[in-house]
Amino acid sequence: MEPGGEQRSFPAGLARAAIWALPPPALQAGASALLRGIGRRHPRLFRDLASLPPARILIAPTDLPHRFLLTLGGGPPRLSLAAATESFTASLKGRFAALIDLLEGRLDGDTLFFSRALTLTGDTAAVVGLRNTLDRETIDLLSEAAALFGPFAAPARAAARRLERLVDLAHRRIVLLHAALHAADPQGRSAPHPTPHPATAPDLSRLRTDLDRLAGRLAALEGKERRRPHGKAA
Amino acid sequence: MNPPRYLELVCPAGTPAALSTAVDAGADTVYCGFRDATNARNYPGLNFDPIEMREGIAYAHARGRRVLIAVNTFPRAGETALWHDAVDRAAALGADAVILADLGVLDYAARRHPGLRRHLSVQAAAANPLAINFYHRRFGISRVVLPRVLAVSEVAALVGAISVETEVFAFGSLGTMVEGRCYLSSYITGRSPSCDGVCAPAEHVSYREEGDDLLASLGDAVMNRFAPGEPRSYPTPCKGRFVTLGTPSYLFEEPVGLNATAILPELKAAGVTALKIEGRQRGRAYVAEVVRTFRTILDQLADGRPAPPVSASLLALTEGGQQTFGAYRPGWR
Repeated sequence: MEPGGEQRSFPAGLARAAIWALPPPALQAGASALLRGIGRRHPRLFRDLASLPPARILIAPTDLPHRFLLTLGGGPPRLSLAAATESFTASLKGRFAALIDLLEGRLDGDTLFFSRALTLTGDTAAVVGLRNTLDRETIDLLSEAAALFGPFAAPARAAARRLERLVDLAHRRIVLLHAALHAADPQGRSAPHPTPHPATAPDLSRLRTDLDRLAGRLAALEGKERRRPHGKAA
Repeated sequence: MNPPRYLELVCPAGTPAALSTAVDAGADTVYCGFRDATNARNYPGLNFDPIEMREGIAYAHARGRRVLIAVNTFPRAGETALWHDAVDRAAALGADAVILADLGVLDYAARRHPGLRRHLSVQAAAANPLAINFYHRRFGISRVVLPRVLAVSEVAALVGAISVETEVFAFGSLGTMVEGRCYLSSYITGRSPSCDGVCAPAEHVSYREEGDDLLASLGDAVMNRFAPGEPRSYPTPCKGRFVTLGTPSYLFEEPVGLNATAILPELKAAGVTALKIEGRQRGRAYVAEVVRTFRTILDQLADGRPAPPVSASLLALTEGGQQTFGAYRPGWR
């Protein structure tokens, strides 16, 4: 049994930015690989998910351009990008960060539902079964995503954290800048360029090094994914 | 086991992960159930198989905490074997007590496992000295979980008239119906909390968006229509909003959660032994937040310091985003 308690925070902002940027085939491959990795590290979770009744659950992050389809029943679960016309038996809708927090057990599903941060439609039993089954395991999604980089998992995780900090810092600076500009120039006639903040320089430098090291690994992964026979993605 | 310093904190666990979370967050005792109709939270993916229960008990005992197993639904006629088996399993796995409601199951446990502590579930709806003393005399119960219908002064009077420990609800979902006697949802779904462990069975619950509103239904009956910005609640008949005389209103109960953090010294003074947190159907994030908050408050009170103000984080966890003292204070509906 794994002890409960605080878990590391998944860089949801960074992941969201990456999902926006990735082309659908790469996103599909990444989602499938991520799920396969979770299955390898959490066999009991996959056994429990496989025992749930068949269901097609549409996962719709409201702040992303993509929707995902989780297929349960008849073997290991499958995660794929959902087409606009995709048929489903239940749907879960909420902000990406809230869905990730739910998956990692940082937020309670009923609390999200009460506060309207989460909306579900369709087969409620399928969603309740999925939520309770996921809540039985402690999933560290950042580690799972970093594990895709094999021996480079540790630097990938560190890079993700640094990048998330930079994204977060940049976001907060933009908000402050926007507020300052609005106060100084309510008509919006001038818009000066922000300059890099000195506090970000060490992170930026380490990030460049990390990203250089990861680039080779990513290329190898993409090649491997291209050589994979069709229909093998789970 | 470690003796509680102020009031024993009894916390819910619907999954093994929630059990370890509750223990790590400071629960003195954790209550849970098997994956079947023998407990009052029988939802898909919830509860423990025997191996998980054994592991959970070992985890708690290694840290000086207790585990109670709820076998607190009422057997259907001719189907008592499942309930008897659950009591046997609880005894074999080393549970610290079983939480029971049915007379027959209480009798079975008292005869077969006299050394296993028996707590009387809230589902038995025993709220007066005559009933509680009967259960004590006849089935040797060590503790009663009081129904959520008593004022603090009534709890104090009751404690003085009985010879068993009392456990009272301190946080979580609130029922207005007589506990253990409610079959309201069974008229719609064919299943009830009292016999099947489900009040709003998930397979009968559905949500539908209609414009900006969300419609929540149980079976074919719409229980509520939530406008944008309105907090939501479970679609159970007792918390439904129904149109009567042309006006929609909550006929039985507003969607609201019990929060007794501000009156814990009063409950202690009333002679209560233990505080129960409701919510085995909730995720481990709920368990972590509620248990941590109560642990902090109880430790402060044990040290003679005043309790901190009511936590906003607890309010966020409550059904409908509202909290109440319920029947502990006069005037509750």
